[in-house]
Amino acid sequence: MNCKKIQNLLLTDYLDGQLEEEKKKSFDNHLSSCFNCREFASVAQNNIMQPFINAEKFIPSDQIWQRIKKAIEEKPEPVRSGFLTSFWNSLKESFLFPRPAYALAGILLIFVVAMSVNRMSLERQQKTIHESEKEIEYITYLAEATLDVSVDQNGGYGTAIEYYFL
Amino acid sequence: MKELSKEILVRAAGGDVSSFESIYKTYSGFVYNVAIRMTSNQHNAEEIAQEVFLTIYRKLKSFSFESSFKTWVYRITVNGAINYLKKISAERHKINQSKNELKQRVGSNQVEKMMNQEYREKIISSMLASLNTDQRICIILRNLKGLSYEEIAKTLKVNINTVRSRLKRARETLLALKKEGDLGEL
Repeated sequence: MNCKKIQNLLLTDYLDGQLEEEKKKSFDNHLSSCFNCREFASVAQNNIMQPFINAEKFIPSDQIWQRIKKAIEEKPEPVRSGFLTSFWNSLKESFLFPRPAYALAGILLIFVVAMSVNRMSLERQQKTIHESEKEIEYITYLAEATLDVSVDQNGGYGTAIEYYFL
Repeated sequence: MKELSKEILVRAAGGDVSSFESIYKTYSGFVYNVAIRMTSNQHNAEEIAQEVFLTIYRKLKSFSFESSFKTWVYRITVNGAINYLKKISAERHKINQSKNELKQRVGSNQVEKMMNQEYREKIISSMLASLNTDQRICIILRNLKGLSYEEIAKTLKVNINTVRSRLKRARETLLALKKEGDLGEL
């Protein structure tokens, strides 16, 4: 371990006694051979750890409890959780899934919803295409039907009403 | 700190005041000391303690025994203290005030450098006041209340490495202040 890493660890796990025995040994070996790190450890211990040792423990005054007691007695029952909260709590107790399970379920749900939306959109598109084809077919039929009406040599249509008037 | 039985907690949740008093007696020291270290003010600490215990009382019904009651109380305490600080918006003011007071004191009267309890307390107050809220709460829980990294992580609902990183930054800050002479000597 280099000095920088040693000093970083020193400010946390080493000073707090959270290092495993093996790591602590290699740490102490480094300190015994490195003056700078040893000095750093000494300054840190004396200035940022020592002041907290034997710090005063404050005792709360009796008045605090008296005030709390008075407030409780004015509203004797602790707030009961609502129906929804109780239901949710019992649901949680029944299905004690770890958080990753919730995350996975969430992802699956989002995936299923996205697929359904996509599918609906595809169906709608196909329907529109189908309707458009039918419309084109109808227009073509109309156009052909119009062309089929024969126009005679005189520019007449050969209908009965024409014979009546002419 | 002794662990309270489930029976006491259930009775207190049902409104039994004497059971709730047992909870108070067990945790009042922790709550009050964290509050006083967070605010450096007795009156504020008393208000925080009162509010914390009333919150515990109100929420006892919804406490599910899945997690540790102790950690639950710790979390309510820390949140109560942080919210109180936000409410009174005095944090910055307090930090500056404490820093200035200390500079004047250390500069003007070297005799005060004697290692007595009162002076030690002033040093601790100024050290804590020089840290931001996240760092301060980590130092209080670790150095003054002796919680393990894991307990702090659970209390604050953060990763254990976040606890390490906050402690490291806090201690770097304290060392830098020490170097600048902003902190007194013990």
